[in-house]
Amino acid sequence: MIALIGLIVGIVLGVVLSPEVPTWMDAYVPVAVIAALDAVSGALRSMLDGNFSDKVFVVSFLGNVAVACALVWLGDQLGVGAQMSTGVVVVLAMRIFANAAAIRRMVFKA
Amino acid sequence: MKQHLPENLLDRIIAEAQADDYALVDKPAGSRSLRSMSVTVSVFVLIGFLFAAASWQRQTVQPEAQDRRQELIDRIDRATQSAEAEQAAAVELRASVSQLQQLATSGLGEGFAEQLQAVQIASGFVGLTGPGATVTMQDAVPPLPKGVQPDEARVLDIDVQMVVNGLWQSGAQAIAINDIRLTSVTAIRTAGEAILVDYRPLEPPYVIAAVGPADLADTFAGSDAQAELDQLRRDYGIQSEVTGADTVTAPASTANLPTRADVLKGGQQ
Repeated sequence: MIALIGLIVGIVLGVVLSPEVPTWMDAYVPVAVIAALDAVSGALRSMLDGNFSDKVFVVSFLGNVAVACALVWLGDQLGVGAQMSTGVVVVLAMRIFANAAAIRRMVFKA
Repeated sequence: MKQHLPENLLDRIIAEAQADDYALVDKPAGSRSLRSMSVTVSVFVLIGFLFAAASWQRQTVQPEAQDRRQELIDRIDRATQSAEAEQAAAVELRASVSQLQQLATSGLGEGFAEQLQAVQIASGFVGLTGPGATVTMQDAVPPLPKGVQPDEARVLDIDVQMVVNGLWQSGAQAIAINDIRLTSVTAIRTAGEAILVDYRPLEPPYVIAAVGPADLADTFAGSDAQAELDQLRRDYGIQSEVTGADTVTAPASTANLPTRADVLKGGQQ
């Protein structure tokens, strides 16, 4: 519940402040958003599972965002930035799918 | 809780990607301190902020890209149009070139080059340098002849016209006044105190350069114009000087002709 409130507060903050994203961050924002979605879906699943852990949530989110952005940056340096972000998005999307499937199974029992 | 990983690389990647982080960690029961809670909430706030920022970025970046795209499309359209216009002009010019070539190779071309040159000289289309004469006229300087007002002691447009006509009569081919070439449509007029040639004001002294036969100065000296110049000097004190020269230059006319002639279709030359 308190997590949901935090999420909404963040969205409202973002809408109100409407920050201008610097150009050099253009490639990293989408990847960071996917990583965040993965963290949120994982948190939701573990909450339903009853094994949610603050530490795992925070560390996995920050870690995944950092690794994803680092991979995209590395890809950019090697000239394969687009392919690298595709790879990162694919892996994170699979995680989101797995989490969503687990949530579905728990909620709908199907 | 250890998972058995498949041998196949692709399956392994999928299995690892789909692993549940929470299931892999031994959960310390009831460790819900205020600090860890606040950290979690702030991470959630961060995630929400990230979502909003990303959507905002998409909304603001997209129209800009569209604008730029539209601008590029406009530029391409404009360039295409001008290219088409130029192509049409090229086709037209090619047609006229072939027409002229036909004209030159056909019987009409006999003496055409000389005719063309004569027309070009007469119309001031080309500059001309050669032997000729120079007439220099200047307003009278005091002391003026008796009974002459300073207003009257100035070179007038009719005086210049008179000299120019005298030069034409004496056989001049091309005339320029203060380096302004006279053509068949050049006007010599007065506006206020200034003499205008082709609507451009002249500054005294008025140097009338005429290209023509080598004895142009001599012919002019015996003409009515010279007599009138002498009269002007006597009556008004207007100074004039006629000199023959081996090289006199009449530059090409720079005036824009008000009309443009086209060759009539149907061979009515």
